[in-house]
Amino acid sequence: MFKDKRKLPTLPSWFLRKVINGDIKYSAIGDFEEGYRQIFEQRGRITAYFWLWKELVRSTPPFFNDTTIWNLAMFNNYLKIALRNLIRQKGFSVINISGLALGISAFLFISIWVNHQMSFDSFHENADNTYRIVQRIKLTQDVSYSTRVPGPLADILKDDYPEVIKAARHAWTGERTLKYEDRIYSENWIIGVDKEFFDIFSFNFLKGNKESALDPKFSIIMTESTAEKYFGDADPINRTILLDNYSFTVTAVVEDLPSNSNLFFDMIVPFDFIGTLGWDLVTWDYSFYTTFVLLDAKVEPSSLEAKIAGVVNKNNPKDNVELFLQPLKDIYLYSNFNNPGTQGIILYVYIFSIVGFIVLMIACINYMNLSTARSEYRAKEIGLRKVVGARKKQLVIQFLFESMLLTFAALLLVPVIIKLALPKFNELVAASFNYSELEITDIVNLKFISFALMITFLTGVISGSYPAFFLSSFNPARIFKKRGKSGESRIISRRSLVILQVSISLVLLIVSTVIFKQLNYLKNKDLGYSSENIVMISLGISNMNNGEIYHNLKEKLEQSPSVEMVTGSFTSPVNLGSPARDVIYKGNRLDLNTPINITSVDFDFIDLMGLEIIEGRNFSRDLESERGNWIVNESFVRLLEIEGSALNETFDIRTSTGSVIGIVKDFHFESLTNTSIEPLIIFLHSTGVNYIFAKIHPQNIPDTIDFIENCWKETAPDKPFNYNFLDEQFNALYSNIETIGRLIRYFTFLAVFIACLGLIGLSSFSAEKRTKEIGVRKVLGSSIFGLVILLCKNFLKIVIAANIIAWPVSYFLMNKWLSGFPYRTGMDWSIFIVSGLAVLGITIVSVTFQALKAALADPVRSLRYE
Amino acid sequence: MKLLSRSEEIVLLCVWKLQEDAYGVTIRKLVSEATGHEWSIGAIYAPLHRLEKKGYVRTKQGEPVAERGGRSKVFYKLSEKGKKSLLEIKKVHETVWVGIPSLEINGNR
Repeated sequence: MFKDKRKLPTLPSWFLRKVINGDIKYSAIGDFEEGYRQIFEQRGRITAYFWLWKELVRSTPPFFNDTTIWNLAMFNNYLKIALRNLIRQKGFSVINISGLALGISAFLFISIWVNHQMSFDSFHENADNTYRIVQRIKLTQDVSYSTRVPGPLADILKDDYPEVIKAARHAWTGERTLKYEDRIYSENWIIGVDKEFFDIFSFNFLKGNKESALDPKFSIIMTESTAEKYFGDADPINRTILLDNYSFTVTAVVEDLPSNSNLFFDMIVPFDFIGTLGWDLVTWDYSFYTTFVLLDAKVEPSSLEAKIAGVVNKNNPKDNVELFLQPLKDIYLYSNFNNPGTQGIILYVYIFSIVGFIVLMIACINYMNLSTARSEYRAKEIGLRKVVGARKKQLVIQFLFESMLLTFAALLLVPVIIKLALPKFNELVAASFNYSELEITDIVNLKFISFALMITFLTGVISGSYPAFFLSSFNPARIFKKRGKSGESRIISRRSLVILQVSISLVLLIVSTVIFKQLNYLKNKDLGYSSENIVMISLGISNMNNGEIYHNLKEKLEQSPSVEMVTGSFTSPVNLGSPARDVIYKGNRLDLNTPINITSVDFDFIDLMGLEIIEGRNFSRDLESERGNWIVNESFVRLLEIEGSALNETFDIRTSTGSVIGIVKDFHFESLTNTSIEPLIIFLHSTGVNYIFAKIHPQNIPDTIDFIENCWKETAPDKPFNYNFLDEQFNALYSNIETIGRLIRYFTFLAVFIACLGLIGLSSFSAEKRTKEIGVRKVLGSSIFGLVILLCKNFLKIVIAANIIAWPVSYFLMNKWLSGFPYRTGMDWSIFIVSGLAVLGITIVSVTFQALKAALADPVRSLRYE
Repeated sequence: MKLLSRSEEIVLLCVWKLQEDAYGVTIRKLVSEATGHEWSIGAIYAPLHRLEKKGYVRTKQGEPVAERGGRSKVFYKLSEKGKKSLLEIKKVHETVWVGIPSLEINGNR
C-alpha cells in the first residue's frame, strides 16, 4: 500500500514500542511516524533517521517520568523498611547473610571444579567431530574393552571410508631417558603420533612448522616447559638431544597443555619411531595404538560406526571384536567401559553438582524458615499496606526485593570467602582429577562474575519466593483481629522444610562416612601380599641395558644390612601383567574366554612380595633353566576347569610351550576398583627387568634411601634415580575417590553448619515467642530442665523424622555406589546410628543454648512488660 | 481548585486554541512556536497524558491516514472540566496581574 522505505526503521520503532506505554502509545508512535515521513520527504532519509533518534532519546525521559518515578518512590520505601528490619533483627540478618554467603561460595567453588571437569578436550577446534576408535572384545564369559587398536587400522579407515577426513595413531613410548649435555632426566610422557595428529587436534605451535615438524625421521617436538628444562633460555630449534641411544633434533615447540587436556605429553616423536623400537605396526595381531579420527561434520557417527564395526574382525578372524566411536569430549568423563555410568568421572561430577546445589538450598531454606517464622512481626505492616491499597503483586515484589537485598549483601562476602578458601580448595583437589591449582586471577573473569551474579539472583528469587507468596497472602482483617488461624499450616510447612534440611545434612553425613569407610577398606584390604617397606625403582621401559644395571645394583644393595632382599619384574605390581594372547590349553584358546595377564619376574619376587605358593614350588636358582616353567594364580587354575591338581599341566602361549610348576594364591595386582582377580601367568626372566624392588628394614629409612641412591649413581651414572614406596603407589590408585571423600566431608561440614545456623535462629525465635509462657511456667514451679526439654521437644521430633527419611535414602544411594566396587565394605547399622546421633547431638547443642537462655531468664521481666 | 503545572497549562491552552485540529503533531508545533524552543514528542505527551488521566481532555480517533503509516490521528478535545479549569486559570492570572507595576522587559502576556 505504502512505500516501505518511508516506514519507521525497525530498531527505533522497536524501541518506541518498548519505551512508550499505556493509552498514548498508539497516538505517540503515530506522531513519530508522521514527523519521520515529513522530514524524509523534505530533507532525505538520513536527516530523517537522525531526527528520529534524536527525538527518541529526547522523548525517553518524559515517557518514563510518568510511571517510573512512582515505582522508584515505592522502592525507596521498600529499601528503607528492609534496612530497618535488617538492623533491628541483627541475629537474623547475620545468620541469613553468613549462611547465604557460605552457600553461594560453596556453590561457586563446586562450579569451578565441575566446569573444569566438563571442559576436558573441548578447546580443540575440531573437538565435536573427533572420535577415538574403541574395540569391544567379546569373550565367551566376558566383554572387555580396549581403547587401543591394531596399527594398520588408521590407514584403512582413511582410505576406505570417505567420511573419515583424517586419522592419526598415537602411542606411548614408555619411560625413556633423555640427555642433553649434562642434563639427564627420565621422561615418562613421550608419545609417537602420525602427522595428521596436528590436523585433528589444535595444539599451539610456538616455534617450528606444524606441517613439517614430524617429517625428519628423528625429529622431536617439545612442550615449552620441557624445552626450557633442557635448553634453558636458548633456542631449542635444531638442537640435538639423546633419547636412549638415538639422537633427535628438536623441530618445534608447542605451548604447554592446558590442565583440561586429556591427551598428555611432554614430547612428541614421529610415529615410525614406535616401529623402530620394535613394536608391530603392520599386523592385526596386536592392539597397541590409540587411533583418533576426524569425521566430516555432516556425517552421522552412528552410520559410520555400523560400517566400520567389523573391520578388525575381517582382517583378523581369530578375535571377536567390534569397533565403535567414542566422541573426544566423552573420553575423560565416560571412559570406564566395564562399568558404564557408575564409576566414571562423570559420576563424581554429578555427585558434586548435587552437593553444591544442596548446600545452597540449605542456606535458602534457612532464609525461608526464618522469614516466615518472623512473619508475625511483619503481619501488621503487611495488613496496613494492604488496607492502604497495596496489591498482592506489590507485596510479592517487596519481599522478593528484600531477599534480593540480603543475597546481594551476602555476595559482598563471597569474594572474601573465595580468597580465603582457595588455597585449601586447591590443596584438596589438586592431587587428582587432573586439576591444576588455580589462582584468584584465573577465576575472576567476566564469565565467572556474571555467573556469580546470576546464581545470586536465582538464590534471591528461590529463597524469597516462598516467604513472598506466603506473607503477601495474609488476610488483613484476620491480622488486625489477631486471629492467626492460618498459622497452623504454616508451622507444618516450616517444620517440613526443617526436616528436609536436617535429613539432607544427615544423608550427606552418611554418604561421606560410607565413602570414607570404603576408602579405608580398599587401602587396608589384605592384597595377598605385603607392600610395606618396599622401595620400587623404575628403570624406564625396555632400555637395552636394564638387565645389566639391575644385576649390578642388586649386588651392591644386597651387601647392606638394611636391605633385606632385591628383585625385579617386567611390569609394575600396581598394574601387573600385560594381556596374554593365544593361550592354548588342550586345543582351546583360553584368552577368548576372559582376559589373561602375563608378566615376567626375577628370582625372589614371590618371596619379597610375600606371595603364598599353595602348591608346587617357586622358581629355583639350583636348576639349569626355568625356561618353559610357569607359575600361575588360582584364578588361572579355575580357568583350566580340571579336576584335581593343575600342577604339571602344559599349555601354549603363542609359540612357546610350558608347564605349571607352582600355583600362587590369588593376590590383587590391579586396582581394587577394577574387576575381580584376573588369571595371571608368571615366568622367570632375570634380565627383562623394568622395575627393581628392594625390601628394606623399617628403621632409618631415609639413610637407606640415601644408600640406595648412592649405589644407583655408581651403577648408572647417566640415569635419573626414580623411586617410590610400593604402598604409596597403591594408595595413589584411589586418589580420585580419596579426593571425593575429602571434598564431600568438607561440604557436609558446611551443610551441617549452615543448617545449624538455621536451627539456632529458629530456636531463638520460638523461645522468644514463648517468653510469657515460660515465665508463667516458671512462676508455677517448673524446673529449668523441664523447660529446656519443653523447648527442645519439637526439634527432637524433627531430628527423628529426618532420620526416618535420611536412612533409606542414603542406604539406597550408597548401596548403589558400593555396588560399583567388586570389593566393598558393608554398610552396617552403626554408620546410620552414629550419624543420626551426631546430628541429634549437634541439634541439641545448637537448640539448647537458646532454650537455656530462655529458661534461665527472670520470669518477672517476661511477665511484667504489659 | 487544582492548579495545573505550567506545561500542562500550556498544552491545555494549545489544545483549546487548535480546536478541531488538535493532535500530537499540531500541538507540538504550536507549543514549540509559542515557547520558542523545540519540545520533544515525549515532552508533549507526558503532560497530555496526565491531562487525559485527570479528565481535562478527551480523545477522539480520526480516519487512518497515509502519512502516519496507516494509523489514524488521535484528536484531543477539551472536556467541560478542562474548559472550566482554563477559565479559572485565566481568572487567576487576570486577578493576579491587575495592578502589577509595569515591567521593564516587554512581557508578552
